[in-house]
Amino acid sequence: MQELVLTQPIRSLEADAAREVAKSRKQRAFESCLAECGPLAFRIAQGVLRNVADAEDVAQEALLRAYQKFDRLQDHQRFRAWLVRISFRLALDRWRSVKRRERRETEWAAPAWRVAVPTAEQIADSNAFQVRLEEALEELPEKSRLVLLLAAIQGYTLDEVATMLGVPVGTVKSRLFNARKALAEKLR
Amino acid sequence: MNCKGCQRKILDSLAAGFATLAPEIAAHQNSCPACAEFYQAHQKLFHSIDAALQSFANQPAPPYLLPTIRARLGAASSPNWAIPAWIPVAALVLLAFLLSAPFLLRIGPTSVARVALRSPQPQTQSVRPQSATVVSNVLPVPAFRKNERALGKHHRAFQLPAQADRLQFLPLGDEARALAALAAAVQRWPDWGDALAHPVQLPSANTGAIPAIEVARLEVAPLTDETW
Repeated sequence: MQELVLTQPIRSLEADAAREVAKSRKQRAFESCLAECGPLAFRIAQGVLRNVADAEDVAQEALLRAYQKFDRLQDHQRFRAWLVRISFRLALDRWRSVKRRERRETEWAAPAWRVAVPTAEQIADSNAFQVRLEEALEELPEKSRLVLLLAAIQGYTLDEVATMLGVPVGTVKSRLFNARKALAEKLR
Repeated sequence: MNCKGCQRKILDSLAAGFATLAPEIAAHQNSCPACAEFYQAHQKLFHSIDAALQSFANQPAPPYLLPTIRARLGAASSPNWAIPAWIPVAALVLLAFLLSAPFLLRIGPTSVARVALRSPQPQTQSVRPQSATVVSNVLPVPAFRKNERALGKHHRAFQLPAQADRLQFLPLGDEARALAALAAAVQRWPDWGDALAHPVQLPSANTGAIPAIEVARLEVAPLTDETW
């Protein structure tokens, strides 16, 4: 009479346990990164989009993507730089789609042959500088925009910005200088 | 230092974020009202830019942001046991294919290169002889019915369409040479018994071209296991 030995369930149980351990370790590591860098993702998105609801969406999306690919990140010290790039890229994509939608709606609502004439009240109420600054920012290269944004976020020195972007501090200073000068020339 | 050079240096030092101007620039702008006005205007402009950028970039994150993200992460990491929508569709398609496979295999086209069935041509029908002797044109082969399974797909090659009264074959390889030899024998000995008893050796240069022959009043009977 043969004795049957069932080894597969035990093996799978061990594999399940190992998987659970790895998953909980990943969650713990990600949780510490999330608490530290979650607001940063929101600020970057907010800096690009200037809309709280859109910025929240983008921050959530960026953090979800970061979580899904967290295993591939070998050096967890670089999480912040990684998240900055994901957030900025997603925010730019969202911003472009918002602009496209706005353009479509504007063209649909006000055809080109019907020129909208602003009233005196509209001119008085509009924040002309804000609008011009946004237009000038849109014309800047992406690298310059990101440096301007990160340098404007409180709590980060230029050294930290350089670490986040993976470039030397001199490069950050140079990009910042050129971006500020270009903005001033566009706005004066 | 002229005013143009001074204003360029003022712009550079403000863009670089220096708190104070270099001594020679400061001296010039103290003595030049136009450059002093330029400096004040641009200092104000850079203050406005910095203030606007900081207001963009330092919006506090909503307090519910992190809990919402944690909830989404929990949902993303929990195993999802729901069956994907495409699986039932794929199962149905597979089932339908398995059920219809026997019919498809029975009626589907087979090796076209091996055998080609063609409809009759009216002009050749009119000159078809009525005698029982072997004359040239077409070489029919009896249709195999009972040995279909043993013969595999070849049997379909010999099925005569209802509207066709002539068959044309396109045999390949060794079959072509064998049929060519048989056709040559039939042309020499009109009786098929004699033809089969006297095989003809084809010249080696023969490429397998088969002379056209026709067998009239041919009785097409199914092959049985014994005859095969």
